[in-house]
Amino acid sequence: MSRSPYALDSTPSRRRFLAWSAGAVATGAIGVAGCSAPGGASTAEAAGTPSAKAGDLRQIGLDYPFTQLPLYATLVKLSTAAAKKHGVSLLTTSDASSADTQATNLTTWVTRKIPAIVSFPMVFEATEATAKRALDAGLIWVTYGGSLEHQSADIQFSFLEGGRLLGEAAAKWAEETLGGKGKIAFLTDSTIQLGRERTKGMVDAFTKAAPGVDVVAQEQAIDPDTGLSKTKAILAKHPDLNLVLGVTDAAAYGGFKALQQTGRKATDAKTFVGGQDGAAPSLLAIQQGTFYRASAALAPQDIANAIVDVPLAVAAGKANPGVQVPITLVGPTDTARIDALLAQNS
Amino acid sequence: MTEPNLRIRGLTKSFGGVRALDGVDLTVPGGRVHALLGHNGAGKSTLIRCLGGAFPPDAGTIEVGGTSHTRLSPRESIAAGVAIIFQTLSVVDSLTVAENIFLGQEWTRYGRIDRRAQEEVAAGLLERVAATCSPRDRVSELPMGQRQLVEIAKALSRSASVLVLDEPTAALSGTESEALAERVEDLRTQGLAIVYVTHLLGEVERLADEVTVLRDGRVSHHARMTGQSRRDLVEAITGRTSKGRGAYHGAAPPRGHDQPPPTPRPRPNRLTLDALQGPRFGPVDLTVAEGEIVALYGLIGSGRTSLLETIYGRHPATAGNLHVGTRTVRPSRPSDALAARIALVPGDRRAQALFPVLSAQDNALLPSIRRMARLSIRSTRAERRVFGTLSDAVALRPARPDLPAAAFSGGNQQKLVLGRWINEAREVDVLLLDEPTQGVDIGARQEIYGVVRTLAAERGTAVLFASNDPEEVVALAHRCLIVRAGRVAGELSGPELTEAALLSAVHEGAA
Amino acid sequence: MTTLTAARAMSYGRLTAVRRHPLLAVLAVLVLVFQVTTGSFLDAGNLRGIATDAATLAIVAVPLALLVISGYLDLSVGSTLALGGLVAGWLAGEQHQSPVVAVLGALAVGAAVGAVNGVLCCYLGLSAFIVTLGMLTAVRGLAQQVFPLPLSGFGAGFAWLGGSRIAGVDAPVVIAALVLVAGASFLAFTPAGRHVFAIGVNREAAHLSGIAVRRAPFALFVVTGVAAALAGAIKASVLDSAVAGTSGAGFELTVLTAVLLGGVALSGGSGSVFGVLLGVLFLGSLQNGLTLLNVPAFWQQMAQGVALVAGAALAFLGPRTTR
Repeated sequence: MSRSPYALDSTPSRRRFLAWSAGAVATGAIGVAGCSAPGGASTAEAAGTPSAKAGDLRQIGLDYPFTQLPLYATLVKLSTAAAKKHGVSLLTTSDASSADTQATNLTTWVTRKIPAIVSFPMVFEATEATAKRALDAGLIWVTYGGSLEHQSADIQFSFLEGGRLLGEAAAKWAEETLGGKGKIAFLTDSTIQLGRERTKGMVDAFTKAAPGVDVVAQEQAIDPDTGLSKTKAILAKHPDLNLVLGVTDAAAYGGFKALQQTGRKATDAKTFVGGQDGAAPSLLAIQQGTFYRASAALAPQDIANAIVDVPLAVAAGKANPGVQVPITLVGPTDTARIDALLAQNS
Repeated sequence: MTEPNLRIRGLTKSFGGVRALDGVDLTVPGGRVHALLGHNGAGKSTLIRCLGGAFPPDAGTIEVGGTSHTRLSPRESIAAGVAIIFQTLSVVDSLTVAENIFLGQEWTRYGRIDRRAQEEVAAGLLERVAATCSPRDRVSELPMGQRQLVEIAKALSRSASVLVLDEPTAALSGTESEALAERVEDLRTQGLAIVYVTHLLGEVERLADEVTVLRDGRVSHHARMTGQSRRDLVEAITGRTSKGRGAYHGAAPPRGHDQPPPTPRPRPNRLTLDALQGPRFGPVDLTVAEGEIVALYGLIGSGRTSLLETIYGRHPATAGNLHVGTRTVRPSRPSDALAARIALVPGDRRAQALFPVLSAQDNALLPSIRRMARLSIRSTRAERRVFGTLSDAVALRPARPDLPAAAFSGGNQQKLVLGRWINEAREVDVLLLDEPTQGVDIGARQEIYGVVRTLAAERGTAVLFASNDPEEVVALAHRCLIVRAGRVAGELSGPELTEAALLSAVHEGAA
Repeated sequence: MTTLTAARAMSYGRLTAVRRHPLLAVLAVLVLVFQVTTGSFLDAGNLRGIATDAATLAIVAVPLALLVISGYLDLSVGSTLALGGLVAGWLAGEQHQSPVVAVLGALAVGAAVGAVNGVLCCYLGLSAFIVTLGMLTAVRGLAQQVFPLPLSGFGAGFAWLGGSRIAGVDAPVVIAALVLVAGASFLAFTPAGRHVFAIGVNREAAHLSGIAVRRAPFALFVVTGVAAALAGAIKASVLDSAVAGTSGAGFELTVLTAVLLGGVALSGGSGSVFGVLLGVLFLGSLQNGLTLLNVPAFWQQMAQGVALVAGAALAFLGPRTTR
């Protein structure tokens, strides 16, 4: 069991964190067609290897390991539909957030020569060899959420950028509403690379743009339970806390509830909560005009499109088939976008 | 052979003021079988365990192969060449024969266990003890006799020069016992010094060169076997001439006073078994009258325990009927038996009866607290009162309701277990006792007998108990049934019921 | 019985509360240290936060402790908690049922999970470790299959469960207090409560004493399932959301830790509800205090681990409690 054995463990295990960050990745908006490919090595091999032509590609394997995330179900549903439009069938793995299971499943797929594999490696270094074997076998390998040395193309997300958008929006609000003074608590993650990037983007952007606001706490929290209890503890010491920014929407939502439970009205004008992911409960809170004011969101539909389009682009021999999925900040005024995101999630 | 393999001198050991061994001497040269006899509690097992290093003697020396020791650790005992084969074997069921033989002294080659070499040597050792099993067999799949041979082979592999066999045939079938006797004779010719502990005089007569009888921790008799009669041995074991019931050496009060007079007949039968059959016994017909105390006397494995447990509903009866008074009962679990007012005090106190960490009061009253409760709430006052009366009745020492059962002596633990069925909140019509005084000191033993006698005399409880101790049977029973191979093979009562009669009765079949 | 335990047993009955529950001293020291270093640990608001956090833990820890005392174990509570929260939230939110119906629905689901565990472990005699480990995974899978998407917005009525105050005390804390009192009373005042100890100490002896050795543990499995679902409903109410994949993940080990820290022996037959309360408060205080001190994440992890081992070592030195 990789879970931390003790109670009230506020520091989630690597696995759970990864699970979360995958969720973050999920929510992104992706301009598939318009995106410029991330340059360099990642696409260098792509051109030479594809053995299947676009028209021949009948199967895509989606290996998304975090099956416990709501996003998993959403992505499977949306990308199956997207694939169907191209006459492609979609296979999926059930890795249950286990790196070992993922490795076994990928090996099985490579052995069975699944023509195109889109994989979100739980441990990038450990997946390199499998990716190489896939390429050697003439298969298409698309890396999701990062890049490998051996790959046909990749689907990338900028976590730093999502954090920066949130931090800047919150700083702007603090300047306008609080006159640049007040107290902020960050719910952060420092256990893995993706979390550190989100945290860094969020904290650096905010402190740079709103230097007058006191940073009273930076606490590890990625799930609502931890977010709730950490924020409650912070509030016990700083009842006048103004801002809570979360590395995930889930953690921020816990903070949102903690503030309400210590007597803050849901529409309090001097309070700001924001998170990252575009998770449904947070989007609803934003929509309802509460002090949950922002989420850095990815759109599942865009990711689903990329899952199908990138392998097809590789098969068709297009140059620079990879994509970078942009993240956008959703606020109370973006009603149409919230509706669209909620619709994709349902 | 000038120097004997084993020479014990003046061995003395006390437990909490009770002398378990008192200046015992025992000398066994190589190539000799020395039988060790005595009642349960006479000191045989204490002697063996001192020899095996289980605890240090208070005084005396143990000399093995010319080296003298005042105390031994288990490791030193093995290193000195002593091997003890206990009744409860110490082989590991899940390992193979060869693995068992070399357990703790594995042969290795380049750091790995050299299986092939081990199995070759094991095969040789097995041949020496004429075992039919293969070195690769799993011990769990072997019959009891073969397991015992594996253990003896293990002893040989450690070059033991002294072999102690503790009631080796108790769990064996007739043919297995015969085969074992041949092995013992072989090992004697191979020069081992063998100490043979047994209850069975037939085995002694067949195998032993010398015999030592222990009674109350002392050597009461020691002689060469040539010219010994069975009668001499029985007298030495019981400590009296075989004239029937006599006082148990000076300490206990004269038997006549607390022994109830033979039950006047006819009295109504409380317990009737009508061709009852169950696992490892039957069909058995027997009756126990109101107020009567009946013994089931037989060796371990004769089916006594199984019979009692079947009456109590722990095992299902396969045929026959069981009546309490005039009612027919068919208990399928202990609670059914209890509802029919039948109770059992099990033979293995630790495994089957005791709750060591729970208090004395809980131990005695747990099965009955629901009866004392009002509206499903425990009545602590009633519990205290019932326990107080009970602890007086059984003379519990110390009479502290809150003390965990583990802190009591074996005898007082047994009083707690017995107390479950004889208190104000719970009375039974039929009381079954399996080895009622096993691991119980002499004093508590007499007290437990007193409690049982009073119960039978005053409440008319029918008591059926199993024992392999002739002394206990004579002391407690009105009537004794001899159990052999799951059947009632005979009955002794009145003046016929003597230790000598019991000893010879049981040996007729087994030896 | 080793001589050590026998010696402990001898001294039984003359023990002070601290000697019987060494964790009490540890907890006192912990509270003192946190109060001195943070200055705000003992503020009413903070204590209230600790209490509500610890409430859900206590609600599950008490029946689980009774189950462990009877010689069994339930590792499936984390998943049952998630399922209970989702069912309650779904009934209150999407189905617009009254909060009472929502909670009863969750409890029914928890009882069903507990009954499956109980039948397999008590009546069929399978290993509780394996069975409930399997159920941990199976129930989680079921929850994700039925509720693939997160639920939120359960309405003001349902928020009452986690958010209302009864005589100035938060509802979850009141519920936890009732559970603690019920658990302690069960052990102390009912015949079945004593039988639970007997079954845990020596099942065979209990059976041969005529005690029904299956019924009580089976009932405790059901109660544990119900309690986990109730805790899930409370958490769903407090957070106004529930996620199938992550709600209550790892909760089974947290609650088991509280139970074991509280002096309940995993081998069965010993433990007390008061000890469990101490275990729960110890974990709650530790987490809260380290947050107040703003200790960096990895240091918090290390401190928690060390404190845990220290607590366990002290609990080990204490006597076995059987009431």
